[in-house]
Amino acid sequence: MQGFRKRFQRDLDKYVPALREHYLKRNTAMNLPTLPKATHLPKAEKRLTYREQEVAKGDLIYITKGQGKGKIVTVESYSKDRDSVYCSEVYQEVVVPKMYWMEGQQSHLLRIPLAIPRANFKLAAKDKDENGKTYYVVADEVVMKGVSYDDRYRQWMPRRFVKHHESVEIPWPTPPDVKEDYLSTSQDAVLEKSYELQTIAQSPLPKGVLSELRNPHSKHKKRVLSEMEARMINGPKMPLSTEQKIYLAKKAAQPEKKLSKLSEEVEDFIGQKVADHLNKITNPALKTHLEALSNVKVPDFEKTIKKIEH
Amino acid sequence: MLREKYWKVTKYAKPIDENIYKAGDSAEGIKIPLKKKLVPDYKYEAMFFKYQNRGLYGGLERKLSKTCSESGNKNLRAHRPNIVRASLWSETLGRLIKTKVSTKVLKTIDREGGLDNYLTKDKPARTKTMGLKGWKLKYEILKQQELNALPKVEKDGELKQVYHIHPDGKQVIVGRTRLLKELYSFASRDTYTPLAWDKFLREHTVLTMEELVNRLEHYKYDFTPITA
Repeated sequence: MQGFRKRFQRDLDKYVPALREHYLKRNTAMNLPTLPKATHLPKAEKRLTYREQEVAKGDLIYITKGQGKGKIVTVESYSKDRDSVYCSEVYQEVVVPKMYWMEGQQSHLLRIPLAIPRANFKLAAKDKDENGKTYYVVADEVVMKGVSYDDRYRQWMPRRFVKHHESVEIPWPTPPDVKEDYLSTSQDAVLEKSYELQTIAQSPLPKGVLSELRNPHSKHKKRVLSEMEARMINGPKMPLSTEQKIYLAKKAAQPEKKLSKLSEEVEDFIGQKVADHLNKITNPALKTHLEALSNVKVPDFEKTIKKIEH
Repeated sequence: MLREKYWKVTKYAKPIDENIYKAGDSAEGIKIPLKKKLVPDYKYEAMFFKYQNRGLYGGLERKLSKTCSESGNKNLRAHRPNIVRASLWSETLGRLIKTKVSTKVLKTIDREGGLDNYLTKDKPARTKTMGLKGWKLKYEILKQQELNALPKVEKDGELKQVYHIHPDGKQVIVGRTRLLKELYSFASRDTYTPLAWDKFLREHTVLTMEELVNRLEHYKYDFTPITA
């Protein structure tokens, strides 16, 4: 039952490493001295996905340290709890008293596979050159780049490359076939729904049905204001003060300002004055500037001209 | 550009919706108030030091400064405006108005010649500094002044205030509530389904006096008891 912790159980993840080691040592003090030591890998350091693990069952590895150093062996299994691999070539023979013998055991000697920690191996791969001669590639480090769908794993797998030699891809090994037994469910039967959870948290109606049942012409969905609503929003107006009333009355009493066209004489006079002034200008930069200025459209000027025309 | 003198008021003022809506306008994103607004929206309602909404503070706010000890330690301290409680006489309303008021505003009221003049002065600076309470009082005063402008008429040996003069010359001597009640008796008879008073009110409370009289005229109401 991994992932479940009883209420008063120790949480080794929260211990400092030294204290954790001390606890494990005390806890396994009565074990057979020949058995491998107990270890604990904190949850945060566990590698749970293929991308993190970098090795899978069936991969070749090159052992760099400890028993089997220099050998290229096949991975039998990967342990998430120890972040290490097991293979048939690296093992320990332990003497076991007859009372602890397992079923079918013939000898006092029992082979226990030894964990090979990540630091003690490197990923290897086998290939053939042009002459058909087999050679091995050992990757110091591995990088993952992109994903491709792997039908053998039935999932999107990251692609493995040798770091700094990224033309060299190390494909994932073929996973072992899952053997069907009397407890296994067939592939088609898996998708068949045989049980439905009864809960008020999930609606029994399919998505989108409710909006079809509801009234699309509901008054609450009408997005237009009625007369009363508009008046409610507008609210009352502040009455005009005496000063304001006097000002408005005065303004209303004044005759409306009328704009009239200039007479030809006046237009000519103004035009003459402007032309005289402009002809005096000799600076080319100023001339260019005035030229550009004359093209600018002034909206207020246009409005006034329109008023005059009307 | 001119510098805003009362930027402390205007910068943090709560923005209001100044659009004038009509029937048939889109209601998208518009909140319809549940109750009728009794006072027009105030454009310069303060968002900070909200206490000023409850009195005539004249735009004065709490300020912060640092005190500095001999050893150079600085501590924040607050300067609160000088606020006093006062009962101010309103000439138009004919009653005392109990309110908190800053001494600076008291001085201004004296200079203006009374609370009514202070509140009804039509300058942008006054509108900005009078605060929410001042705005509400201003509305009350101006409404009363509008009413005072209407004549008083004698009926059955008693002097009656005219509340509304209709375009056809009718002088209505009752208020809105009475008109609504009169209209309710007709409106409730005019439907096949029973019409509750509150439901009737929800539909008719926003009508003006003129519209109410028009509706009553539609039902051929006898206006003699409520007109001069």
